[in-house]
Amino acid sequence: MAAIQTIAGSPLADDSAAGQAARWLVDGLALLLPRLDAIARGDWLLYGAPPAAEFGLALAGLAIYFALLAAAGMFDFSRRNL
Amino acid sequence: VIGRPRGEQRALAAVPRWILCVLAGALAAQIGWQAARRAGAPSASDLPPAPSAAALRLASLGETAALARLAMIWLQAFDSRSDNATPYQKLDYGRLISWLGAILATDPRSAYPLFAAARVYAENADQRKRAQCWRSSRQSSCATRMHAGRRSRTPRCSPSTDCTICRWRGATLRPCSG
Repeated sequence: MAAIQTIAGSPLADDSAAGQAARWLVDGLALLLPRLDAIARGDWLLYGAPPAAEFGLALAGLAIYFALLAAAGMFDFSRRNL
Repeated sequence: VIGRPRGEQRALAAVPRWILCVLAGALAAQIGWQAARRAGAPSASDLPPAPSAAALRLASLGETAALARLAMIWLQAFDSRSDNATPYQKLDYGRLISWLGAILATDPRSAYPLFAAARVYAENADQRKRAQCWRSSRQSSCATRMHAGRRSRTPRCSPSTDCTICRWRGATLRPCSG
């Protein structure tokens, strides 16, 4: 996601209104999606576990996203006419 | 609910208020958390030394074409920052050319590294870096053509007599004509 954001905001990117809207869309998606790349890192297997604080922050981000998914599921379930 | 056709959604008012509060709170927490922990773009000075082509091929797990393209996207993230007024001048061109060479060697049929070298990275105000990039892209282009077996279009220049991709020795190349 970070690479997509970087490319979308590069000086070579389209500077029109559509390009600006695309950049806003990418930034909005980055705010909604979790950073799963911070959770399953290959270098943890090679060079050892990360500091507890770093791992805790990554897990906290996941917990918040899990709460968002659960709330969205409950909202959808409440509106279903079963 | 009796008398209501199946498949329709209930009205928004049918959703319990506490669920709406939890949803709004979770959404706000997610956006706030992601905004607070947003990672910045990598600095141009952070470009690490390039791995060998063999290491890249090994990392590709057989999908060399896909890995070569992903590696190019990753490499371009170092110099395509929106807050960088002179993006190409800050790159270490020695390392950059090593990366381009390794990626090209991973997928010799891809023109992406050569295109980036000739049309993107060569557009540098620094003459030394520009010449470095042009020289590298010409050599790689010669080697790629030779590697692909299209020797009817004889490469014009290369300081080496070995194919830089497959290390095939004995390649007959004309000396560089400038």
